[in-house]
Amino acid sequence: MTVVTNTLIIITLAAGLFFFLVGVVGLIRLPDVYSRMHATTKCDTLGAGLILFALVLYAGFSNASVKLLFMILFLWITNPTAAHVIARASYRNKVRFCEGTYELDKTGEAQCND
Amino acid sequence: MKKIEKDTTFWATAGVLFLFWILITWRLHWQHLLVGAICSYGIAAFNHDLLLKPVERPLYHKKTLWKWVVYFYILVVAIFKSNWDVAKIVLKPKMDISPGFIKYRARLKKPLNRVILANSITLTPGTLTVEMEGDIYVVHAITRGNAEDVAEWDMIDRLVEIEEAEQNGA
Repeated sequence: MTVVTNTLIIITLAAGLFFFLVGVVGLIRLPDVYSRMHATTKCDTLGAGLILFALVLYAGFSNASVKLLFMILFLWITNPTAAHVIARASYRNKVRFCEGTYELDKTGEAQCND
Repeated sequence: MKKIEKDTTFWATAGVLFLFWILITWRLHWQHLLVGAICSYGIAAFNHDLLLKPVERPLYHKKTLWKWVVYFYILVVAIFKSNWDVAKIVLKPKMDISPGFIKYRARLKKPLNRVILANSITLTPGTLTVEMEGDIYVVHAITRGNAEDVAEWDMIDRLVEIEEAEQNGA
């Protein structure tokens, strides 16, 4: 294990931890369900992705690193889907929005037909 | 029980699953291979009505393959940028947010492309797909700027372009 690889691993791990920290702080600070989803989903994708990538670097080309790469792939596919399902469930159940939430409608055509 | 159609799509799916099995187990012993073969065949047979037909596959057409590579490259860059933006919003002492919903139409026809767009929206700057009904998307944005941007996002144009190229090619 060379110094360069080690430094790279440490930087990636630290960045991953930083994004997880931001996700948690966002979860506590932001006002409503939807904005909280922003902080947690985005930071989880990159945080977990970077930490797993650091582990790939640490393992080198082996049995474990292939599995870790698959984990990153599936995490990046399923994470937004899960976030969408949670947001959709709260939208349909009319969970309250925070103050100052606006609604823009840019579908256009529907209004012309009415 | 309905007879399962064993065409190229079926065998291709079973093959991809088998390859995935080999990569996960990382062994070439005949017992592992036998179990893997049985499992991939079983899964492909069980899900035979859900398999992706050749025209539905995103990476099927050679002409658009490069465009997909560019698309995913831009997406990964956007993911990094969006994380940085959210981090800045969250860590500022005075939070500068103006959350809201935006409803708009995306001119995409294929269900798979719509799903890819919805996932891309969730993964990138300050936007979260809340509802998707036909080609109407309801997106939650964390700032007013994000909300204005997402309706005229250049990734939508890229997907439309790919879709048109696929239709002309097929």
